[in-house]
Amino acid sequence: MNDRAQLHTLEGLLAAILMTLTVLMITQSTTIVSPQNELAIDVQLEQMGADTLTVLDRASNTSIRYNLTQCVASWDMTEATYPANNLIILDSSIGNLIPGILYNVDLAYVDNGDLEVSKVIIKGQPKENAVVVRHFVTLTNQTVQSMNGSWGLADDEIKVVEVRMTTWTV
Amino acid sequence: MADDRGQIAVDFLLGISLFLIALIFTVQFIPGMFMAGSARESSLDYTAYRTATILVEDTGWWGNSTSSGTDWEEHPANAMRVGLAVDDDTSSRLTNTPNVLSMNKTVQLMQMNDEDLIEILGLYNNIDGTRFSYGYNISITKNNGPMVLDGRPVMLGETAPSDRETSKITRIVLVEAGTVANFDADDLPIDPYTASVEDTILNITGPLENTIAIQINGLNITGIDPSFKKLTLDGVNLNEGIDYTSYKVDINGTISTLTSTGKIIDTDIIRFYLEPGLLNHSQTYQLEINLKDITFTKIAPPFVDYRDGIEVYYEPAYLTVEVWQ
Repeated sequence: MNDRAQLHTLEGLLAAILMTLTVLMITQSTTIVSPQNELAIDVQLEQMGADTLTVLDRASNTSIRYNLTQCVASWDMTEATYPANNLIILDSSIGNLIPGILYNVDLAYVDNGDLEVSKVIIKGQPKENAVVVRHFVTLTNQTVQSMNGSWGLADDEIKVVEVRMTTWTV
Repeated sequence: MADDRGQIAVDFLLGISLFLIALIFTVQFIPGMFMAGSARESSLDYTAYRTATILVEDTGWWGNSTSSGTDWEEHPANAMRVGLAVDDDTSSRLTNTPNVLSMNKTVQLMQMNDEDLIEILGLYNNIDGTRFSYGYNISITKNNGPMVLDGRPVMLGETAPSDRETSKITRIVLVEAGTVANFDADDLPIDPYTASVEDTILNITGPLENTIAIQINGLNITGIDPSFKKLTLDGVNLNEGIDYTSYKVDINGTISTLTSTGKIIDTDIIRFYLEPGLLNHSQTYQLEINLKDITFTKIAPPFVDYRDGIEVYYEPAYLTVEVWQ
């Protein structure tokens, strides 16, 4: 009687178990970072950045020393060069709210029909996971004068400035 | 002749087909087995994000058959949404005050029971018609500790389990934390009793039961050692650290304690917190603030009253929502 097929069955079974175990081991041992998980991390960072600007914008002077508009109004119109920054009051306000997160801040505004983008706070080179959040503030000469800024606005002039903040974690 | 029937592909084909069918069946019907959970955790992410957004950006809404409004904290039984954002026009849905949280709403939220909270914030999942409630933890923290409102730390739900995956989102908010009386030094009068231009006086009408905060900005520095000396209430010296605490806030917003030797500069704001219990009676108290090398210019009377400078004080804090299965 020929019973060699018995051995083939057992071999097949063994191979099947081996394959299943391998697949199981690999899938269980590694954490799969799905696109959604990565998205959640980005969402948190973007949310922190957006909240920081919103909170600074809405704060009364009893909660945070100067609000976003006042901070921008105090700018002396010179660009920052790393590692120095020239909007220290804004830098310290942001730093107090998001410790451990790095950020660069640019101001964008229209001057004589041209869009000017100036760096005011530089903390380094943004990493791959950086997100940009933005907020608009409106400056008047009254605010600028009270904050000793150098925007040089006329008394009947208003200037809309976009505050762009690039945030990233290391 | 060698028997070579074992080489026939049909045996192999049958075996591998059976194996593949079994494997595909398993993967299809037990999703959590091979994918380290994509559907499960992401639905938690959405829940955490949504809950935090409702709490931080929405004013909430209540309604019954006759009326409605955003002041749900006054009508908790008819609350439809429980946002915490402040609102000064309770009849409209149009207010947009994200990230600024009301104290009354937060306190009311803490008084809601677990079941209502899960229902109204949608902290559950329906699987085949059966409802599974998520575990949750909602807290407001500042300086790494829970924020205390109305004598209770703002902390809802349970402590997050360490053995399970949770989804967490943190929002930066301004929380209404009481009131502060804010004065410009130019509006405060010279103390007529000591007749020293370095002293000023503030009327406080009692009774006041809570901690009171007083803040002075725009100080006029006139000497080389501008500093704070003492506080006196109706002629009695108050003890620093027992009756009151004092701070200065510099131009960058850094808060430091105002020790009696600490130098003050003209861009600093000085702030005093008077402990509860000092102003219990129904009378007008006079608080003398004695400084050194900082002068006042106005002549008293008239005196300035604490209530004239009062405004709501919002404190930066973090609202964290964490959910798990």
